[in-house]
Amino acid sequence: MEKEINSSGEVDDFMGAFDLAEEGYSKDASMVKAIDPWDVSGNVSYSRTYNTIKDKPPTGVPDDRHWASSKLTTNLKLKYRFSDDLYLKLNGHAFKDEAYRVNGRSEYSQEFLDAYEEEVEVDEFFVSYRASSWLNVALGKQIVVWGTSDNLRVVDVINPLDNREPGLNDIENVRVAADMMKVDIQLYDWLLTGLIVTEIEKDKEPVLGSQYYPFDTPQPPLVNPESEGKDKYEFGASLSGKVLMVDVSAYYADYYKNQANFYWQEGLPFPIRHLADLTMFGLTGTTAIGDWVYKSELAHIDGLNFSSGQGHDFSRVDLMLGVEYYGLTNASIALETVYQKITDFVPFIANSLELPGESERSFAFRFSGDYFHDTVHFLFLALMSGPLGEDGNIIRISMDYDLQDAVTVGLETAFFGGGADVAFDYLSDNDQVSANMKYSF
Amino acid sequence: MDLMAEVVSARSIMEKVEGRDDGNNSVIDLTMTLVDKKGKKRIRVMRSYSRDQGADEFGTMYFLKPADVKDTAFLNQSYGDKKKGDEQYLYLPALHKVKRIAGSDKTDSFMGSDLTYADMGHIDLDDFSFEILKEVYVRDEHVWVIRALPIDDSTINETGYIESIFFVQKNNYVVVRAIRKLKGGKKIKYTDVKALEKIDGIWTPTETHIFMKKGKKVVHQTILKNTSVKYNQEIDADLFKVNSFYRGL
Repeated sequence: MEKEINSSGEVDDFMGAFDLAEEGYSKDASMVKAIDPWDVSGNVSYSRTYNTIKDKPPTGVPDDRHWASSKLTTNLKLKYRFSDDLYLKLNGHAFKDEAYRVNGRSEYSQEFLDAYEEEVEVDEFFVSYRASSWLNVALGKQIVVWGTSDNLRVVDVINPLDNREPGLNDIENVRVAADMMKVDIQLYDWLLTGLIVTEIEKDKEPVLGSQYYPFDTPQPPLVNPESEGKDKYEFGASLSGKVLMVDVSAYYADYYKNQANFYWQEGLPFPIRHLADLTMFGLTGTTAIGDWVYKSELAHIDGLNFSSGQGHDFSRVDLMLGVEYYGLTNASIALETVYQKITDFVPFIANSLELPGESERSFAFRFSGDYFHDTVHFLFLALMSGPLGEDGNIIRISMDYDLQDAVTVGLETAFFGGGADVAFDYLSDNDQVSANMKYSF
Repeated sequence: MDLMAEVVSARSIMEKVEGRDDGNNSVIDLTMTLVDKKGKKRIRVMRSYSRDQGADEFGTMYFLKPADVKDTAFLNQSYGDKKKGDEQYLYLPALHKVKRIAGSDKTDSFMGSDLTYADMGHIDLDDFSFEILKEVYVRDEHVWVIRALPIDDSTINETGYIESIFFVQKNNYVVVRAIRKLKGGKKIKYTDVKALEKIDGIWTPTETHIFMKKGKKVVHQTILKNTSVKYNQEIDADLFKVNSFYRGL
């Protein structure tokens, strides 16, 4: 047991400890350089994934249980500062998955290999110019994230997602960038942002042959908005500031839904897909009291289409409530829930291929912690559909260890729980364990 | 009577420590070396900006190294009006967003170091009782040795310390050493200012070693070096707005 430091004489005993402190570490510490015009960073990672519960597939279907994935990925970020007010940013990623060569490439369709075997893609490529202390303009391929929720999306509608591996994609690459012009105007303590999006993108989705694709036939063709005579732009605006101690934002977007809808065209025996033209008004609020952060999002969305909707547009109200707790040492807990209600629901749309419910609920629970002087990072994330999560869920548990500043190794396991939600139910065969190593530079 | 005089004297010294000139604003480049019990080192590099605005204090910190946290940024808005409390925001580049975070518990480790957020802020003198234990010399400088005891459990929970000994240099009121006993009683944290410089007229620790001992063993160390310090510069007020995070340094 340690001695109490409770008298002047005993302080001397503790003083001796200072002599033990090593001298001269500062000679090894790297000096901070002035901010360089060039900024290059990124990472290279390898992950190997095993499917843990899948049954042996029938003849003619690739047996990918042991080599669900063997993926080498690199992310590269470049930034060049022309001046304090002008910079160019280029982020990109590439991956190559060797699992399909091991399992036999001939067993997969070309569409599948195009989506999952390899990819080189520019994620962001834009110029940002601060014209004055109150005006900033950014032009190019960008990612804009709206709202306060970390796991469930209500007002975050601008950029689509990469959902080819639902719930599993690394957060670094989960959003798909789009060409846009973004103008930020600082009005005292309020920020007004305007967006014109010139590249209409939709979510990247699983394709036929993927373990995450629920059908036996490929998706019907997608009609782009231009060929339907629709606008080829999306627009958005936001206003953010503070009222009392609450961070508040208001959002408006005239945009295309990021997930395609089905519709029946006269004379065709199969449905066609298109992107519904939506408008969204949203409000968000966040405040912190003590160790708690309280978050909320409310959105009203107009223009929803369904395959049996007889050409009518429908409206939906989405409400997100969330809390985060920071009272644990070096850890935080977050719980978010979203309630969605189609306000003009009619029973006949329930038979649509999109399988809409009049109201739907989803939850997300996250526990994250950094331990042993930030060398061990733990994450538990549960995404649940249904009032109590009984319609389906995805649970991810991961632990990473920093071998060095630049090298991290990790283990992750994902459990897919089926339920009434068809999308989740199909995924329930995909429980998996993956090991990974990442080098950052 | 003498005892009262001593208490007041210790408190008045600590008032001068807390009231010491730290500039109206500052730009500091920091290198933090973490050393584990096996001697393995990890290095964090940061740039911090601070700015006083009346009774309010604003601080922004950008993380430059290691690569996996590069461009992460932290903003703290501390208001003189205590009813407002502190407001903290974290920019996570991988998420492309700024998160509001909470932090009334200041015992979290700062970036995996031996420093906590409580160590990096001011202390509320009313939460402690002070006592001068003795006067000694540290590196040939005359110092007061002052013991600080938290007045209640809530202060212990908030700071993480059950007892602190501060070594206050007499000629400049800088705490040049500290011995702090952690809640739980098994670990003791030692802070030693190895280099102290007068920069722009302000006494500034430019190299500080913090080491944690459990029993007789040093279980972890942090070497904090300010590689560049500038006070009272013209600092763009936009640096202390969350929107500036998206632009980065």
